[in-house]
Amino acid sequence: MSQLHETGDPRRRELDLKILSWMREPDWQDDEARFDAIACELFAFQFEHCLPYARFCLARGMTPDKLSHWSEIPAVPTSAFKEARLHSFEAAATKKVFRTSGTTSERKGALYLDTLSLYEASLLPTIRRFVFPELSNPTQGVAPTGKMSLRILASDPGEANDSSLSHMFGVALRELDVASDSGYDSKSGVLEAGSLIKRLRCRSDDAQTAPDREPVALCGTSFAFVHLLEAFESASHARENLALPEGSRIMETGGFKGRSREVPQTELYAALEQRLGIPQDHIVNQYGMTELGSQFYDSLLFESQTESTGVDAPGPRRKLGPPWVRVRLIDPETGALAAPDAPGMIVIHDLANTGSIAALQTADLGRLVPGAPDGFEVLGRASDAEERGCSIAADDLWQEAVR
Amino acid sequence: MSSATNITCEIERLEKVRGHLRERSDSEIIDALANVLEAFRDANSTCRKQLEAKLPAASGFAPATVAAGLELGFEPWTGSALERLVADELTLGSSKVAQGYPVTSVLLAGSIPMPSVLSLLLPLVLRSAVLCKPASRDPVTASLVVDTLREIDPLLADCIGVVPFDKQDPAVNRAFYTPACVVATGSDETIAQVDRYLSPEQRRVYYRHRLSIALIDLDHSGAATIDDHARDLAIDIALWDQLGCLSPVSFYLVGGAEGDREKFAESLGEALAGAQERWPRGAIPSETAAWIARERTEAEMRSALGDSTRVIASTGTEWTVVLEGDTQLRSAPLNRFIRLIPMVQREMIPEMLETLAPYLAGVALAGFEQNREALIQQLFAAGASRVCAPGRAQAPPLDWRRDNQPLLLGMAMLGNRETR
Repeated sequence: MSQLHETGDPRRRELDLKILSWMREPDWQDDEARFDAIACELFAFQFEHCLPYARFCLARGMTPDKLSHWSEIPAVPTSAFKEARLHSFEAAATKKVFRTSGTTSERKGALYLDTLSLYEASLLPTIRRFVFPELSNPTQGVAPTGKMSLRILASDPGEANDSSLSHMFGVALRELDVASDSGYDSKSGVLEAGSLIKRLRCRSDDAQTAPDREPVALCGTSFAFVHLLEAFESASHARENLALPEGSRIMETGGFKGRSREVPQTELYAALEQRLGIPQDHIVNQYGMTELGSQFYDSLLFESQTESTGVDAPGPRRKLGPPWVRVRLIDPETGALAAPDAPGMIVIHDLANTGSIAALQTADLGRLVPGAPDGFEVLGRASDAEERGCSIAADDLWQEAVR
Repeated sequence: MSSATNITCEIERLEKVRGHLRERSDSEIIDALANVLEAFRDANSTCRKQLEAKLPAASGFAPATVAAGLELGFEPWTGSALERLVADELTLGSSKVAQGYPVTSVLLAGSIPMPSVLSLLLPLVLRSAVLCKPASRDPVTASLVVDTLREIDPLLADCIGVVPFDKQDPAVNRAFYTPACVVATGSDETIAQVDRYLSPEQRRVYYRHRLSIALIDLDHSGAATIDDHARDLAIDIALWDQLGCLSPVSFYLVGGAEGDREKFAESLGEALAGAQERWPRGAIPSETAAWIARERTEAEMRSALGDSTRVIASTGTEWTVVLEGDTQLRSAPLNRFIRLIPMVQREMIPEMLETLAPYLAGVALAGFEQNREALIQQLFAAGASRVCAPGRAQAPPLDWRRDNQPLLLGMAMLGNRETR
């Protein structure tokens, strides 16, 4: 794991240590007072060290001395990362830049980091908990049940140096206790579907004769899985439905941007279940974004492992995250919390974002999903274009202009 | 919802009943259609009252906005305006003939009733029966047109068939697009879908999604004029909540100093606040409200980053004025969200028009007394189909050449009659 940066502001270092310590605790405690204390301290630091953010907060009448609760901290729109370098450290200290996806001519957002330690310290326990709850994990106190073959349907970080997703998969491969035949199934951004299907077919055949064969975990963007399914549709695989070993799973994350084809999630999951024999409660959607240090995952897989996780009974599919992140669903009309059953703008406060800005207003709408604990579902963005009337041309024009 | 079989039967019925139109002279038909327009113009007529009563629930517009929008929109649509249109387009001389196709399929779109009324009546001028799919956000207008026409001329009313159907169903679509002439309004995507159902022999008339703008001359506008312009342009924004192609989505502030631009933005904000009192904005989905909120926050962030962007807005999402710091194109959430784009010099107009040209519909001109005609010619050359005064954007003349097209001739079969 990356080491904590040794230079920089001592206040920042102290903040990082506090948050890292929380991230490394074996039990996740939803400690509101602890979150509030760190969030308020971090706001004061970022207000002092990121001038555009300070100006934004001042325009909203918020300064650290006026702050009484973390929920009052102004959230910047994620699009602001396309407009300016938003970081709370000296530019010369930049160690890593992650860029948002998009077409080549589109302006990309960029997250500047002076350390990867918090980023990685946040992602590992979270992906372990929600995607690999059975894997050996001494810090979480979950018993090991064997290795797993991890196949990544994305380019390795060497090829996609500025992709936070590739970096995340790279860390997962490096740090999780996975089988030796784990690796990447994409080169230069192109899924090597033929060889992957061949590999999966072998696993499927093996599972028929050796039921205790270790499971497979497939990780990639939603679009990569659509591409895999399309490869199955080709003549040589058209009638092939696999039955991957029990415990196999999929982790997919948003990834249709700039693509010509989008597939509804229910349709995608049903097709994956049919083709690969992976039950839908073992398909986990990740909700994350380049501008965030932490991620959210579907609850189903974690909650289905009642024996190893101590969960009494699985709740509804919903997004859950680690305790150092808070989500608020905001009513766009009032700016207050949305009613429990109403959609709200997803605003995320992520303490892993010490080097940039912790409070972010996403472009997505979400809705609270009650459970133990409560989670949320992501509802998407724009409304049906046909319903928006004639002046949709304005948006078409804008889309054309940014292409 | 109509099935493919229902629609095929309806087309057969329309072809049959259309034959009876031989009993009507041209002037009888036009008189009947003119009377329908006059009925919709009359605020006390049954059809107008029903439209005002039913449209808000179906479309989401506030009742007061619908009433004001209909009053302004139908004002120029007199019976004699229809007669002039017919004379303009169909007076071809004795050697030429224009005939309608037996049946015209008309795909309606949007939630503003005026274009739907016209789309249903005009094929009848050419003695073509009309098969119509109403818009999902306006299931009211088409039936009201038929009911109103039935009271005036039952035979003509029989020549319109209203067939709501599921637009995802290919079989129903195939049936609907069988007639020889098809008129469709919608996004580029919708038009492309419609086109896939048509054969090369079929006549097609398409109205695509467009946008409108306003140009405001700040170099020659005093404080009082700025207030007047703002008040009038607020009407253009407020009526129909920017959901029509004649609703301006952005205002270009030409010339003037920073103080003039700020003064205009503030006046417009006051005028929109006043408009909200008189004609409240309609209900909007959460996605749209979130979009508006996000665009506001992004504008605030640009301001924090050091440009001169300024946001003047209601507490909720009812109206928003963003005075931009640059001329960059940005997303338009509509629903009374207007961007004011600074244009330091008039010489920047051609470049702006070049970008907007593929989508341009109407332009409201405020000021520009000097070289006005040259500017208007520039706008038409860029593809504008209409140039109007502030406050008149929602009151196009009946013969407005939408999408730069004739209204009747596009749906007609034309021929020459030679004597030797």
